[in-house]
Amino acid sequence: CGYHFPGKGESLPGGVTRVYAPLFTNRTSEARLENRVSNDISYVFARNGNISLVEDKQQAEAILEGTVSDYRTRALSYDSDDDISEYRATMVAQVSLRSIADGRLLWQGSVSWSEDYLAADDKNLQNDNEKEAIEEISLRLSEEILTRMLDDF
Amino acid sequence: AELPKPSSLPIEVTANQLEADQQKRQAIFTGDVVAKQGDVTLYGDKMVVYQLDGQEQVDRLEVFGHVRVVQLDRTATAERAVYRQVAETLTLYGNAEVHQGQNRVAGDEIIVYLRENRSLVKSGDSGRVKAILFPQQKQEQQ
Amino acid sequence: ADWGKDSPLPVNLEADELSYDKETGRYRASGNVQLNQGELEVVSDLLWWNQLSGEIEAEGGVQLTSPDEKMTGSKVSYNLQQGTGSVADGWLFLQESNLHVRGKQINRLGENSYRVFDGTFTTCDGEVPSWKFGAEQVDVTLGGYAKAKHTVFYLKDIPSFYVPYMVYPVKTERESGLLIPRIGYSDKRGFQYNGSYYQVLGRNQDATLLFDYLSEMGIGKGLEYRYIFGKDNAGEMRGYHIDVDSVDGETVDEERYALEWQHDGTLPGDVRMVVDAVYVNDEEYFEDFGEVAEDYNKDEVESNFSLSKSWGKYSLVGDLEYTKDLESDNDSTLQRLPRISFDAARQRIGETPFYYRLETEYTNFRRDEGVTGERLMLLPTLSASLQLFNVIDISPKISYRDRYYWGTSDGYGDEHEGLVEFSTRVSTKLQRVYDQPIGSADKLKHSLEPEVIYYNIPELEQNHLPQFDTYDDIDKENRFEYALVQRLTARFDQDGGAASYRELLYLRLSQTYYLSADAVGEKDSFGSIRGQLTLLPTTWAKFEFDGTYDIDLGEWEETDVDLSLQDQNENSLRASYSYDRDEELEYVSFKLDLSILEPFFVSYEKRFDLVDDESLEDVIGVEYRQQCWSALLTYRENENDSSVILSFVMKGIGPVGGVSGSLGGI
Repeated sequence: CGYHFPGKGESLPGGVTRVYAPLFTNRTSEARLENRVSNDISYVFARNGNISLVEDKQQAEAILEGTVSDYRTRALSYDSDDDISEYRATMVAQVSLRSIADGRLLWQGSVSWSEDYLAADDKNLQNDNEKEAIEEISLRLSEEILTRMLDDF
Repeated sequence: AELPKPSSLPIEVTANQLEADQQKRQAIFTGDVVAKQGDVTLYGDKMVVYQLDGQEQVDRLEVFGHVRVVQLDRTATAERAVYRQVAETLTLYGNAEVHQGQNRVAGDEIIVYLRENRSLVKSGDSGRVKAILFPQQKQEQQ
Repeated sequence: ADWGKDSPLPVNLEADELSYDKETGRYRASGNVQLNQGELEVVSDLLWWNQLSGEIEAEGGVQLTSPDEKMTGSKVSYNLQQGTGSVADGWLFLQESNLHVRGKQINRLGENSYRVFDGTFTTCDGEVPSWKFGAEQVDVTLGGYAKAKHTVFYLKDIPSFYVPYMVYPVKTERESGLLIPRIGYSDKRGFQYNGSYYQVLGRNQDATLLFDYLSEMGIGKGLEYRYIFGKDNAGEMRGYHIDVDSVDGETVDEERYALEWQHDGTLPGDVRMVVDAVYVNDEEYFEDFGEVAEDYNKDEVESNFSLSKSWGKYSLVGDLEYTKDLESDNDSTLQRLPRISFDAARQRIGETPFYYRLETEYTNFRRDEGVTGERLMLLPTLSASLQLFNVIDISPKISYRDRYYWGTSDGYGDEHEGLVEFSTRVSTKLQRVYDQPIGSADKLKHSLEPEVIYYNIPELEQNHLPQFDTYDDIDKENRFEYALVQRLTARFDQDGGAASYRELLYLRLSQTYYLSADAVGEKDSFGSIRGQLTLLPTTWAKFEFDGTYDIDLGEWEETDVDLSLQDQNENSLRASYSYDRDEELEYVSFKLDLSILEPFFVSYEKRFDLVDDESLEDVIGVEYRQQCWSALLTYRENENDSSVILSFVMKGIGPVGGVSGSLGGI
């Protein structure tokens, strides 16, 4: 019925396969986001058979650079005492894929993802809830970045 | 654009044909007319030299057709030019243009006051004076 | 614009008549003269131009225009080479900031600085501007500041007040507030007058002095200081102090102050320093001064100071994290003073399908009540990514979480525990492209990505470990988490060949299946189903749903629904619904913005609690917007306070500082 496994068909723009992905840059005031997102990018991009991550820039055809440009939390909902009961955390990443041979820009985009977490009387628990939300956002954001890059139909 | 003062130097004129008309006290040169005086050269298809009544002195020269005046790096072109000895002015008529290096001035009429080192560019009823000039370039003193 | 200073651009001169005087090297042009040089154009009836010095004298309807400024006047003298000169009875217009400057005399001092004598300046168009500043002398820098002496502020042509020395920021990028007061009344604060005075301290520093008179509470003083040093070290500091007479009618006589510092910059050695610190000396600071929701009911204030440095895939980050719980006094909130981590980001081992990663984190946990101590956690991880027939991806991951504790209080000794965490993810992807155009989309792609992740963490007795965060009591896991992600992406062909893509639908359905020995679910049981849906059918409408359904009890555990609609001319509706069974939460909020009654822009916001069926907050805003100024009247009614505030925005100046008292604006 026309559904097929993209397998070979789906590759990065410009048909590059060997990609070098240095650590993301972090422009937010939340520490360590660059490590988390870089790890998830590596985890997600490695899933695609047509992408081969290389650690040595000389052997790569393209370089994947990214910046975590924004991270913010805002109150999402309030209980009957008008106290905050849920927060929504949002992260934004600007990503670009550039061919190493001639520096050509193959793909560029800004992707954002949000996740909600519960407030808590115990602020340690609230802090843990936020950390968990950040972990989920980072993974979904990385998946969304890969999907957008493969959109070339 | 500026042309020299006609000092006492003689004017040499060469042309294909010369026709003198005594009673009108005119001399008409036609065909590749070239008039030289000092470092100034006047080219044109036809030149009429008018002499003052009763004197040998030239009153004015009139040059017609593809007029070109050259002096060092300066050239001026027009359809017609009149040199008036007494007033010491050289007037160019008919999309007159003066080029000097990259400077360029164009208008319907250019009057060069040779004694006062000044020149005036006029536009006709519809035309405009247009000039492209380069700052800071020293004008060679003539 | 830099007008012909270095390379002498040619001058195109056009006029009815042109004369040239070789003695003085001056051209005289008359009869609707037009002079062009590079991007500069001068138009006048009469004009002298000195070819050697570049001096221009122009008279009669003179107009100088260049890309970012326009000057007109009766008489102009100007030097093309230096780009300096002066205009009599001049009018100067700076496009970028829409600033109109008129003056008896306007001197252009350099590329973008002017001195105006006996002049006025405003961002209002029109002959009689709605507001303007008049001053004996004004120095204007394009895209910088206008510094004026002996300034009078006019509303229409009525002098309204006088300021001996004043700075008006012509800066276009940054909002800044100036002078115009913000007045209002609120039950909690009584009659309220907030003023702010903007002061430039230097090329890269400026400050705002804040003054609040709150009839019920007292007089607040504040200072906001902004700086940019070096290439990219920038920050803001705010301080506010108020002697509070009474709150909600009870006399309090307390001192309340708040300090705030935000900084982001790079230290020598490419070390990034970030500060995001807020300190309040009293938990009720925000409750008393916060105006907007999320301020007056702020539940915690977190401060963080961090230094980070990276080399390739390795990074070292040290930070101090201090969290102040504003809701309760029992301060068992953990402070991380400091936390130092060294991470090796996930890196491939040669050309093999294997990857390694290392996380190390030392934390010194401090708090007033509860166990404190130091912990070193090491987390090496080995993972792989294998493709089966290039169709199925298998990503196993195994890590060993090693934890050392020492220096602990409350009788916990030095401890060391480690445990293995294992997971394997199996996934594939199916997709189909529909080539026929549907709606405005030229092509559609529908993709399905099923994934199954098996998690296994062995049981480990950890009661002897001090409890700081989730890593000190790791539950055993033996479960499958499976999910199906569907995406519908549309391709839009634009003229010029470039195609743009938009994800119309994102749907993720996930569930967990618990095997034996899993702390959460009993043996062989299905957990709740979670559905996450995002619809973006058109660029002006978005719908989001995130819900977890409890299949045992057949009811929703938690749902969050968001809808947002907006058109091009500022009409928009945002609505959101939140429900949480265990938290007894059912909440709805919506915000409607309408511009159809232009120049009145109306907004109505409501927050409603469905558990007790009571309204939490109503906010009605009416903005009267003019070309160069606008007035904003806001009525706000909530449990904490009800208030009416009138504030002014002067275009090019931006909104006058919010209630600085509450640092609410942060």
